[in-house]
Amino acid sequence: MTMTREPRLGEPPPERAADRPERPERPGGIDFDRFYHAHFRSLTLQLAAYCGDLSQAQDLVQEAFCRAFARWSRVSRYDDPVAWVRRVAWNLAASRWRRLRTAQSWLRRQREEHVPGPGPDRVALTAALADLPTGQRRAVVLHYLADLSVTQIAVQEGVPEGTVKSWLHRGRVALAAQLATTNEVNDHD
Amino acid sequence: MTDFDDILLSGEFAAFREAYAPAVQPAGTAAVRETVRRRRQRTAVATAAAVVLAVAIPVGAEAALDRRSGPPPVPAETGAPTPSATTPSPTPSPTPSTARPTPAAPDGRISRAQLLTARVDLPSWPPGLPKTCTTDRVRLREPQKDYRPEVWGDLRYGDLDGDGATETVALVACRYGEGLAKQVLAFDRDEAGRIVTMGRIVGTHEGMDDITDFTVEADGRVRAQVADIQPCCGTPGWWPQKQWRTYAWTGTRFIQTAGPTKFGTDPRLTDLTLTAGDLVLGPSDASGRRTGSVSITVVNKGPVDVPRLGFDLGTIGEPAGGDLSQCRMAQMSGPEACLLDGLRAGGRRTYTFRFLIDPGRTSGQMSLQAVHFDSQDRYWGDLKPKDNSVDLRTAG
Repeated sequence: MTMTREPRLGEPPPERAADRPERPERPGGIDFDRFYHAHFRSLTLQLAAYCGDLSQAQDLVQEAFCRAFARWSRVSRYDDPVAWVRRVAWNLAASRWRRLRTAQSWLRRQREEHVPGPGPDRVALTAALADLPTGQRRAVVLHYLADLSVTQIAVQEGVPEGTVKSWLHRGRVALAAQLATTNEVNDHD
Repeated sequence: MTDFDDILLSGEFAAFREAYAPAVQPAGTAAVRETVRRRRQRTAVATAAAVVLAVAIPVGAEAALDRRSGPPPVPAETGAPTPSATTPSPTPSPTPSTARPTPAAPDGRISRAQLLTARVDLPSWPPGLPKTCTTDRVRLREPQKDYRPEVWGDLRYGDLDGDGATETVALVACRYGEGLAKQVLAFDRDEAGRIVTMGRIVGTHEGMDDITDFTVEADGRVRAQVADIQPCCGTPGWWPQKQWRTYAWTGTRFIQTAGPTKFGTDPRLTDLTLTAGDLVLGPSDASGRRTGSVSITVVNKGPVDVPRLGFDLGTIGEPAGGDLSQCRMAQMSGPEACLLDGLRAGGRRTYTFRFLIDPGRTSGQMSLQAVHFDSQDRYWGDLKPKDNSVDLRTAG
């Protein structure tokens, strides 16, 4: 029996490490600063593709790192702390009321710089992604931008691998069809 | 799917990565540390501010209402406006040219088609929305899947400012991630017949994340049904708390004049706690699986009774008896939960759960959570969610 669950309000997402090979203990944990800089960019790009907005993605990933830092002694010992941060950021993106409570107040104080908006040529991809059902969109983005395998996506999403394969298949077909149309329309540009 | 699709998509995503990567600006780890530090300090301040607001708003509303000087309704050219019950204001006219009848106020009854073809200015959106949620010279649209201002639901009409003509009220929304920022806006026409934005009646903001309905009353006030959270993407539709709040035009803007001004703690929630002993493992069977038995205690600290106590068994293993033999499975956000009998506020109960556990499971992967279900098998959050779940330790 596979039982999965979404992380709920106020709690860290569950560890889904069922299929990962065992790793040696890291007694001191890993260095937060190095971890942050190694992963901030890629996590932001993945989330931007998922939620369609770069500055939002940036804020949510920052928020996820804040939550990781608040419990760093624990998170740093997880098998895959990056997956934890990604999951938190994605859940924040998926839930507006939680996001408003956190990212927005953060935004008001922190963001001064201007984040450039998407160029017109990239809007087609994010618009096409926005049309996909959530599961398909998550699977496609995790596959193409996070380079996760079907197994890893199944672990992150807490669904059987068959579901991920089906999401990926349908997502690709729909996306490719839509992009092909968009490209034709835009060819005269 | 064809290989061609895969190549196309790989290329699109690679281009996406290249286009956006330089734009990512990490706020930095110093900002992380500062945020976390500040959060640990600020609860008291936030509470004090909320109290001040709750007191200040009704007083301001009363004061402003006295100034709501509805001039006598003048029949509009088409359609009789609903005359308000208030007597004509005795306020002397600022100009002495009383002999000349006031020209009829412009008709602000705007059809949906007219509104969708006009260019209108919108009040500001909450911070953090996509840049496509614009405010200047906006062409409103029907709801669709992109991040631009849209008109949701039906338009409603009424004489909001007592000018004897009808104004138009619309729920305007802009997408934000998978949710919507919403504003109830009033539109009117100017002397030249152009559609103008009269003002924002109410807009979603932190802690009041949804507007679910609105009406225009006969006296020109607007009532809006607002909610503390906006259910989307996995948040159950029954979680929001809803309130009706009333707004009125002061002559320069809309303010709240009646109804609650904030959402308190959700009175439907209770505080469950779950504690567990060690998961005691038995010997392996032929397939390497072991039985595991754990004793857990749940306390309902109140204030409300829990009609059904649910257990999210996570990925511990296959249920194999003890109190789990009484399970009735029910759907939660993703997983199924094992439902047992209820637990009254103030109650405490101890259960024994048995599982068949696959080889190679380690303690970090085995968590157990108590969940409040109501008599309709709907699940609820908890006042203190942190102590609802435990990570099981193994013994034996």
